[in-house]
Amino acid sequence: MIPSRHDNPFASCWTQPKNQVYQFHAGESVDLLISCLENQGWRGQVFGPHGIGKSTLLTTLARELSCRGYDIQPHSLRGAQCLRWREFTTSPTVNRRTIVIVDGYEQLRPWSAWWLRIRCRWTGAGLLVTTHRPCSLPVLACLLPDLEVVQRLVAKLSQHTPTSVTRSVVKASYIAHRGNVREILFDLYDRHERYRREL
Amino acid sequence: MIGLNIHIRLDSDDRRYLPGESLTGRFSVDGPEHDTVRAAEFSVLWHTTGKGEEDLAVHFFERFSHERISQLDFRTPHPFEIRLPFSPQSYDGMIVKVCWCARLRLFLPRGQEIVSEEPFRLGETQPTLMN
Repeated sequence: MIPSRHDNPFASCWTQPKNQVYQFHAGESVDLLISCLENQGWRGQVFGPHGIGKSTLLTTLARELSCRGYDIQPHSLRGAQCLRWREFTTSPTVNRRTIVIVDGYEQLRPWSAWWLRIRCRWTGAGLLVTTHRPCSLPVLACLLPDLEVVQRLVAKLSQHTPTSVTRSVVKASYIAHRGNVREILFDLYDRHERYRREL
Repeated sequence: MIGLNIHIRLDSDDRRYLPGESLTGRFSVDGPEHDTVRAAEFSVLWHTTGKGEEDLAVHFFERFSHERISQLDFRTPHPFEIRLPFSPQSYDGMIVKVCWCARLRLFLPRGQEIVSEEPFRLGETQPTLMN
């Protein structure tokens, strides 16, 4: 067998937020959310527990906003990148077509979060964040676990690489991991590898 | 939908190569929009895939400018011969895999790109088996 990234549909190259399109619930769409964001003065929070798809939704929104000509300034508050948002506070390029995107907003200290909100208001820039805890920004989306969304995601991932992972296996994993999509996908990755080797 | 097809063909039918062996083959590009290609990059590389972050290293790289593409005419198969290294060897692990491939990336107008990869195996490292 020749190893390739197509061997496993749940490999990180397929499941990372940057490589995924968010699976919307029925009646929801990226257009609808962007309209809501506009009505909220381009300020909003995507709120939900770990591994639910906040970063994927943020990436999907950022991609669409970028296509519509907005200047997207993404900031992920993880590891070495955690200080990069400070550059924004002095950036001369920020304007009304700028949307600052912060993934992991709850990790900011209260003073820093306040300063970021104030700075966005002064410059007219939008502010869209993900957070595990509700914050003072208007709620754009509150994400909750949904088995049907996970089933759709698994079906989409396995379109090009067939898998022995069945819907009932997905359901069992969903229950075991309490709807945490990231953990479910890790679990399905392992199960797929085991099935491959048993064949 | 982009009207371009990339073909990468390796001379070895089983696509298995020993460390230090030559990887030979040819690539071509056809389709109604073949003349829109602004630049191309042909590379031979390995990357990891699995549950974590991917690692990648390029073993061979060649860039073709628009002028060179016009001269070469990619509709006719373009041969390549690359001496493969001794490591890392292909590996099919449970958590991580080491994958080798020949890759052709085409740069098109308006920032569009298309990429095609042809995987092959380097070495004879056995895959991890279930106990």
